[in-house]
Amino acid sequence: MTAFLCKRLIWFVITLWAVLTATFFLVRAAPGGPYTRDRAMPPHVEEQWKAKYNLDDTVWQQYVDYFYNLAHLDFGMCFKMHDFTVFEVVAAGFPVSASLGLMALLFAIVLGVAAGIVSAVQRGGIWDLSLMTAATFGIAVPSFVIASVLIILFVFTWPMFPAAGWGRPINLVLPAFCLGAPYAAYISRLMRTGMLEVLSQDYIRTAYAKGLSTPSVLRRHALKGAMLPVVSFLGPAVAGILTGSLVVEKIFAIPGLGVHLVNAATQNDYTLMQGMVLVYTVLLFSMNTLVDLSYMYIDPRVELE
Amino acid sequence: MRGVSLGKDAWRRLRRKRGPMISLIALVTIVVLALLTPLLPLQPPQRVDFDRIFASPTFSAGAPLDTEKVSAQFGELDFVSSAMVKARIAIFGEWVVPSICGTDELGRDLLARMFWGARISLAVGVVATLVSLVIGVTYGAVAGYLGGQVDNIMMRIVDVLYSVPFICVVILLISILNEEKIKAQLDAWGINQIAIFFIVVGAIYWLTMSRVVRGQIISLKNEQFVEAARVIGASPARIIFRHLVPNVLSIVIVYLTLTIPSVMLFEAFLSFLGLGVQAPDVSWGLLVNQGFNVITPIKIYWWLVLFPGLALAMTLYALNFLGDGLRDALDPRLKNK
Repeated sequence: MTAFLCKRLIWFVITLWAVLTATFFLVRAAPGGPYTRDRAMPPHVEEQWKAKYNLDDTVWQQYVDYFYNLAHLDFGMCFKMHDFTVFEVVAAGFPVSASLGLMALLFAIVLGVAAGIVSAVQRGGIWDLSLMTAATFGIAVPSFVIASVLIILFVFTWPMFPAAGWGRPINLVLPAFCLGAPYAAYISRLMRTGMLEVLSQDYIRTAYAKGLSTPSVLRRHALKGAMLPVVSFLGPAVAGILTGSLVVEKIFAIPGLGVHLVNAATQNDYTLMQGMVLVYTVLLFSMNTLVDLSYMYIDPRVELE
Repeated sequence: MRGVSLGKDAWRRLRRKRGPMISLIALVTIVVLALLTPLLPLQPPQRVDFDRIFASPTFSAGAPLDTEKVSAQFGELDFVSSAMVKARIAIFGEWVVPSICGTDELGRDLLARMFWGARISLAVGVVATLVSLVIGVTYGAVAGYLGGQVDNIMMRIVDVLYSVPFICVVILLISILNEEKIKAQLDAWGINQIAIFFIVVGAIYWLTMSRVVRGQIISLKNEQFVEAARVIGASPARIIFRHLVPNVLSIVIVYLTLTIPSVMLFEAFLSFLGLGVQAPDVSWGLLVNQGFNVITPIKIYWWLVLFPGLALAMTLYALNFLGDGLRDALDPRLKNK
């Protein structure tokens, strides 16, 4: 286990280095800089501004400085938003995005697993048919279409939820639902397939023969085996939620990280862009590692490389 | 007792299932309609009409087509499309289909924009998927066949790429490609922005395809037909592309039909963020974006969101359904059942 974690850590550092290097050069490949769209600056102002952000050094010098600062956990100042360090911007937006993402993931797992179990147990019945149709719709309809329709229905036609904003628990409901719905759909399909496979196994038959009730059999024996595909899906699901949160945050005006990512890219804000890429990569990698670790817990036969 | 090829057998099995067949028919219809759009008697998609802004869906007659100013109303058309528009004017004259889907904030007919948007959305889906297919199959097949250290390194690269948050890279690439100087240079080379878009999106989706193909190739590598080919003296390239790849075609087809909706969704997503297809081109994602931007509590222009959303949803639903049906039909374990 520790060997596994050590190997993972090494790969983490390598991946992070590769991604940050790629971003570093990609961002600087865009012609113009952060201020080419504004009014032209007088040359002495431009000189001072470049000196402040070390843009007058050679690219290699900047590269080395960047990683040196990174090692000291200094992520630099934002270009566009003066007086804010990248760390402050990320620290302000991250809890918001994280809680939204977590809510969406929780919702997706709870709803998906429940729907999958019901479908599998009632195979071929009316519940199975309707839940699986709903699931295919959830996968096909884009999250922003669901969000638009839900806003029209539940915010304007029958005012139940606030249209936008953040701060109260009720603000979480619509965004988390829109973000999590496609993943709930995927998870319910995976759960149903896994469950059907597990339920046809002999040890389930034995459990029923022993006289256990259906809930007990499902909870104690079937669930763990069927969860494996769902757990391995959680890695791509988190990646998808990170991506999808951009649109949901835009629609519901949620002050998360998404708006910073888009702005940093379109406005050539080098430091902020690199900071955002760093955050996203760290999140993704940790989630994938957690998923791999949980395999070991769920299925003891699995050997981690 | 006649022998049946895998393809014929799969087609026979697919034909028996109603759901996937209905999806197939629906998709073929959509594609044909999209291809024939310039011929159809629709209102011009770029005609701004301030008398008719935000008109709700109606069956009353639409404003007749101005047969003179074609490029102002239809935008820049390539040779085939402009020939089709000329044919349409010859056949239907000035008559247009009424605005049964309503109009948008500039009085442009939504039905026409949906048809023209379908062309771009479907084109992005198909072309980007083909790009990811070519890259993914080649990469996976080479990695799987060569094996050993080369395979190890190639798959490590894929693993690293999996950890990259692609949305960041895509946004960055598209912002770079949207810069005026670069755009001008690309136009000079004849590549328009949509083509670049295809390639960027295709470059993201090849990872899963390569993993799947590699797995299949590894299981087929030690079959006798491969050994026979090697004995005759076939080069590795010939063995990979002439013998191995055709055998993994069934699983590739299934992944194709399941990648197209993901790509279309991604394109719609990027257009919604303002980074995808740019005006005056239309795509379904752009239409939903525009519909969403005019949602207000005072007046609800529901048709601007519902119809494009429905079109997108129905197409993606049909593709997913068809993909599931194909996966069951092409499963070799079910052959001859």
